[in-house]
Amino acid sequence: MRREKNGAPTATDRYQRLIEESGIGLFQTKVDGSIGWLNAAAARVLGYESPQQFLESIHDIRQIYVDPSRRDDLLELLERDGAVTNFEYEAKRRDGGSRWISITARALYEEGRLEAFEGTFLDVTDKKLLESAAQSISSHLEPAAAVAHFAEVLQRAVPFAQLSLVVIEGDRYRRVVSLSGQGSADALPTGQWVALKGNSVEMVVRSGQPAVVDDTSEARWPFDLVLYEAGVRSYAIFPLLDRDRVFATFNLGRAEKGGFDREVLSLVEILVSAATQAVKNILLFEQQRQAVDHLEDLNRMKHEFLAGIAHDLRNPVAVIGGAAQILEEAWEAMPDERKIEVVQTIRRSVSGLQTSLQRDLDLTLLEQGELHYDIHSFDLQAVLREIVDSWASSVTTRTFELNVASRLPVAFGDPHRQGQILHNLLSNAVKFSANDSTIKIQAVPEPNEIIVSVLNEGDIDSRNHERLFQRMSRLSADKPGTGLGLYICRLMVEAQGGRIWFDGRTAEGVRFSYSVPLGDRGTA
Amino acid sequence: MLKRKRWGKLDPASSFGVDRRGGATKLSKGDDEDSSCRIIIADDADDVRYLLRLVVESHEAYKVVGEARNGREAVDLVATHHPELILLDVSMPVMDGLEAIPVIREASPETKILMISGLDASYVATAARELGANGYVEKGIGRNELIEAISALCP
Repeated sequence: MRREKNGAPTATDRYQRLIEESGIGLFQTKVDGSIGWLNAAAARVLGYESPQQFLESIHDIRQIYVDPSRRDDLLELLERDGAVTNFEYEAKRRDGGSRWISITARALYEEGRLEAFEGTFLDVTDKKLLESAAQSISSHLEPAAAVAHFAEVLQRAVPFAQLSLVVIEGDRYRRVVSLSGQGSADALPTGQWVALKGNSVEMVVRSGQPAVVDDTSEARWPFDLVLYEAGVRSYAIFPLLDRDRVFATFNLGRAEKGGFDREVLSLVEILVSAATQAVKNILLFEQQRQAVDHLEDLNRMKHEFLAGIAHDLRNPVAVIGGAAQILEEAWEAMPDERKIEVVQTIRRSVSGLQTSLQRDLDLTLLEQGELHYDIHSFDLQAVLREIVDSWASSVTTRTFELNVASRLPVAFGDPHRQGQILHNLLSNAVKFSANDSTIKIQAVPEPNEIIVSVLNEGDIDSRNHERLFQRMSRLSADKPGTGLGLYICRLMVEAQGGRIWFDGRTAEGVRFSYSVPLGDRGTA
Repeated sequence: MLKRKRWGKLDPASSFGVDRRGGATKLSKGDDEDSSCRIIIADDADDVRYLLRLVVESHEAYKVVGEARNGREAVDLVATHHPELILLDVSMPVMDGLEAIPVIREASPETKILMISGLDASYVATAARELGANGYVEKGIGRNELIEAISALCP
């Protein structure tokens, strides 16, 4: 820096410093597109660390225009008026996102011709986005469409992998809409109610503040690994408030870890607050539509349920009726052992009925999301042992081997339901294996979860193994109840933050595995 | 007019003895239809087969010669024994009752087929008849009605 004779900075230098260090973006570009200069603030708007970095990548200012024809408009105005005020256009950021820029500039002439222009370069994204977002989300009452429009706007400012709208009700939440952003992530399943307790969403509901998870591979929260596998590496949850109650959240997932710096957070927060009223309307509309759907569903389920029950009842009732009739008519003439045999058929039928009915009831509750889960830290090993012991003592035609490597870490979930999951898998294992074969159960601790596996000797048609976990219409199954066990397992496993899968078929046999989240979570 | 049989005294290996209660119909004297009706029972539920056997064998002239747990086994037994009648359940694994009808008719054309259904669907009865079954009863029916239905096919 040049100095005056007395050591003070020269006027030129003072102005130069003013430009360089100004918090306002300043620039100069030439008509042919080359860049004269720009200051640090302008470079930062577009996501570059310094003017040097910007100039290394951008050689023609048209590169940053989302719509290059806008520059032609700009040049026209400059030709005509010699200046522009608040000329807005959308510019590309270094990370692929974009920002709305407003330019106020004056023309520079050389030999009477427009050569260049210089002026201020401001980020007005907030304002533009607010307008856009509010408009887009109010444009539709149907949640999926509204959120999709909103997502389009958001995507340009903050490229994301996944966006979900989640509605909160009491102690549980439900994903209403889930969208994947450009390319990467899968949409998440919607519709099922999940308990808030122990979830990252709960944290946001309690505090009323946004929350960020920088790296889902750390699996701090129950669903983090599910998100990781769906392509979301970091995520933030933004509350929508009605007075001081959090009635919904926008959950935004990005493909890179640590994708939420202060700038991104405040930008999205602004958008989300602009969307709040519209979301309220959408949810109201959605509630009403759901009530109608629900009634239709209930009607259909009632029919299916009754038909299913009737189907399950036929055999047992026929047996009980037939047996009772025989006993009544031939009591005196029947030898005692025969009487006892007949009575035992009645008892078996009654027992079968009880099992069917309990299972039918559970299934209905499960599907409606009404099944209650009592989620807390618990000892998984004890649960596994209890279930395996119970099966081993009542099924003597199989050998049950429980293998737990070492002391298992504390698990997180509902122990009763976890027991039911294993119970169902064992039931299948017995059904599809031969007499005197061995069924092996093992539990292996992984860094962020416990993996439980059930292996039975035998074979399986593994071509359609994804379909194994789907609901089969009960009436199309050979026997009442077959085909539902794995479906029920899946609903239960997923509701507790785990995943379940067909783990392969080898010479050893057929294996199914599922994951259980770890316990000892910090209280949300 | 259907002929009714008396539930006479039977050998110890069979089910039970004389039915002295009301409801038993009287044997018309001189009724000489003692030709044995050999019957096969096909149903996947053990207890249903057990009870059907009790009922069937409480009849002097009826004898169960085999039990099948699915359509495949039913066909094999019919081909081996050529019984006069088969009691055939509709819903069974491997091969269900409806599928088994044409196979049974081919293996043993003289065997009468009495379908026993646990389902309510009306189309099943029609389908069974069209496929060649000789009769159709529902599982909930009483013992007398079952015997009647059998006698209609197995005099």
